[in-house]
Amino acid sequence: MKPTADYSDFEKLLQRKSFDELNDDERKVVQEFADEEEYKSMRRLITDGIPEIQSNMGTDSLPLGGSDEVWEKFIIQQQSSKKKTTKILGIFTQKVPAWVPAGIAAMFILAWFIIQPTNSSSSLAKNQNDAHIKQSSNNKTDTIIIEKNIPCVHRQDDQIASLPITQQHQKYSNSTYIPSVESVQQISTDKTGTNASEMGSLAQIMFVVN
Amino acid sequence: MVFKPEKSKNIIMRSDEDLMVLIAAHNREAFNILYKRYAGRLLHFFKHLYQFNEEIAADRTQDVFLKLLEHASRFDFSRSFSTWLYAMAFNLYKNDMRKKETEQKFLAGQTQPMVSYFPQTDYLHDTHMAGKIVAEALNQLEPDVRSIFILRHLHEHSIPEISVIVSCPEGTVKSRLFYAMKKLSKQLEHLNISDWI
Repeated sequence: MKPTADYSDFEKLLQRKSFDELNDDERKVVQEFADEEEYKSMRRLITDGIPEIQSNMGTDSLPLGGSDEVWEKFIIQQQSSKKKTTKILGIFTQKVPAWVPAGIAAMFILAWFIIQPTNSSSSLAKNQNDAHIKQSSNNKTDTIIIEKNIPCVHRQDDQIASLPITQQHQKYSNSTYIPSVESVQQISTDKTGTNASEMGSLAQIMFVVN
Repeated sequence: MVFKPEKSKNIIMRSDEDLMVLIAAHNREAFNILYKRYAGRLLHFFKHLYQFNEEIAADRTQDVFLKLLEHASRFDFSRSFSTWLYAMAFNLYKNDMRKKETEQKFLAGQTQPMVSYFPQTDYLHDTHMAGKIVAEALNQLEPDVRSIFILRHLHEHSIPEISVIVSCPEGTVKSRLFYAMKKLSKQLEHLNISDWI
């Protein structure tokens, strides 16, 4: 059975009282750990055996080398570890004329200036490509699904209206105009389906009505 | 935490923690004083742990002080110096026990005799009867239990301190102490306890 009393209390009793000196409460504590014979034997261990061993503690002669040996070992250890560090860092601690680091720095700066313009021009071009919509020179066809109501801009353009409208794309002032809706219907079979982006792009289509 | 030693005190009168501050600043005199204070106790501790092998006990004592010098700057002043020192000592012993266990496992399948620390019992002839019997009985305990019993009853560390030194819960320390007490008393009964004194 696991004792409910604390072992420290039992230990205190062992150190202070013989079994006969224990009162009822103390006996209850003791009985959780040991019977009478065990208690007596443990008490002898604590009161007689252990103090005798303890008395030898001061009589032991100290290690031969003493504190000097330890101190010297420590100093040697420190010196050897310092030497290792100096070896590793040796190349950085060597003395060099002042022009060497200045020259190295100048070379880095020069190299930076040489590389930088090419880099910046290429990155500028890339940015421009991203930012501006390039006009396509190729003819493009798109699909319009006739069954659906497609939002679009109806622009009356006198200039365009005055031009003859054919079934072909009309070229005018570097811009391609999509001809009338009938003409677009003709190629609508090539493509099926629609989505928001298509709707958006279709909404921007300019077309001329007869 | 910054710990400043009291300047007015004579160096011999200074506390262990004061001396540690000086040792961290490479003060040799402070180290000598601390060595004198603790070397005997540590040697005694190791003798019991290594079953009275004086050579190993002396080596380990020196090793602990070398570690003390190496880690002096990292000493935590919120902790007791004695607990810190004994914890270093116990760790050295634990490492040795681990090595020994590995060696024994390796040699288990071979024909050579098992490696051991060859207990030296000459030391026991110098002690009185009761001490000799207890020391012999202590040697029969398992290393973990023996070290805790020695720390508690021979070196008089408190249970919370032992718990820190051996890095295990107080409950475990108490149960091991009780186990050691029970086993020792049984062995001593067996060795005709009436002849003790």
